[in-house]
Amino acid sequence: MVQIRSIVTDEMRKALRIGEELGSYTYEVGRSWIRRFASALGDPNPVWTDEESAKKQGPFEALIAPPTFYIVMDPVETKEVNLQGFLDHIPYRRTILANAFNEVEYFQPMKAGDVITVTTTYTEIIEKDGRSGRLVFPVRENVYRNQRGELVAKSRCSHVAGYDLSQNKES
Amino acid sequence: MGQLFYEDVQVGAEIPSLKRAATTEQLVRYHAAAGDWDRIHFDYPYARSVGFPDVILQGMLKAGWLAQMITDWAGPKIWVKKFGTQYRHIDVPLDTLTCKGRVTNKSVKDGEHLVVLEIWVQNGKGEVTTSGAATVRLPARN
Repeated sequence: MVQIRSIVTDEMRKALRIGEELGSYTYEVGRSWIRRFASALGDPNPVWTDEESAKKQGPFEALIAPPTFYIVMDPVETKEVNLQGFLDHIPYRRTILANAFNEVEYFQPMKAGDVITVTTTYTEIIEKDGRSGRLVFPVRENVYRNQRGELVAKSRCSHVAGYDLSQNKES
Repeated sequence: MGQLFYEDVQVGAEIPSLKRAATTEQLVRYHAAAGDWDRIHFDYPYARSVGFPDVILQGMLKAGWLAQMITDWAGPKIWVKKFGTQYRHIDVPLDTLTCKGRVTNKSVKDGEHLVVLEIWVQNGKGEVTTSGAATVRLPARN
């Protein structure tokens, strides 16, 4: 196998401020936001929309956010943290830029009414060869804490950018 | 809606599948609710210009459907503790997608009754476009 040199530079790692906490972003887990989110998914389950159903049927006697709700409080998806511009400047033809993976672990339920503070840290840039050429994954981790400072969740997410190394980008 | 209990779950059991076909309206509604503003999900000329055949579904929309499949199956008294998805292929509006899942493990840990699920989404051709795993806490009869 031919070893091809990395296309990820120290400047790119610097641009992502790897290992550094990128400020705090605070979001309220509003009932109307949860309702809009569940409705957008097309999920009619009353435990997401009706306080009484949630209290009676749910596991916590409270209305909790649906499992994938954490993503609405991801400062990268909302572009409050916007450090991935370096992906536009890698000097090869880009074949794809899309979401790669999203993972969450909850340590306590995220309840309606919680005020969640999120800190984001880019932890690494993974580089590998795939179907769409050389793939670059800027991996970020979020820590979600509630209004009492308690750990609620941690997430690990990444986009993927692919590059055709046989084609330099037209200038 | 019925409630599933830990004792009722067999390792290897399949979860009833959930079929979905997204309209472009749904993609925009999801955008508005999730606050993710990537143009590949709503701007057709832009999506084409970066090489996609159409606007593409948000990965987290598909993840949301997989989560719905789990709640529809297990009932309201559950807590999804871990949930992850990875995206292997794009999906486009109006293709009929099937969300599927299977129980891969069950265990009691720190007094919690947990089942581990393998979950995935197949497109209309039967290709797996999205795959993942979830750990779900269920109520126990005893």
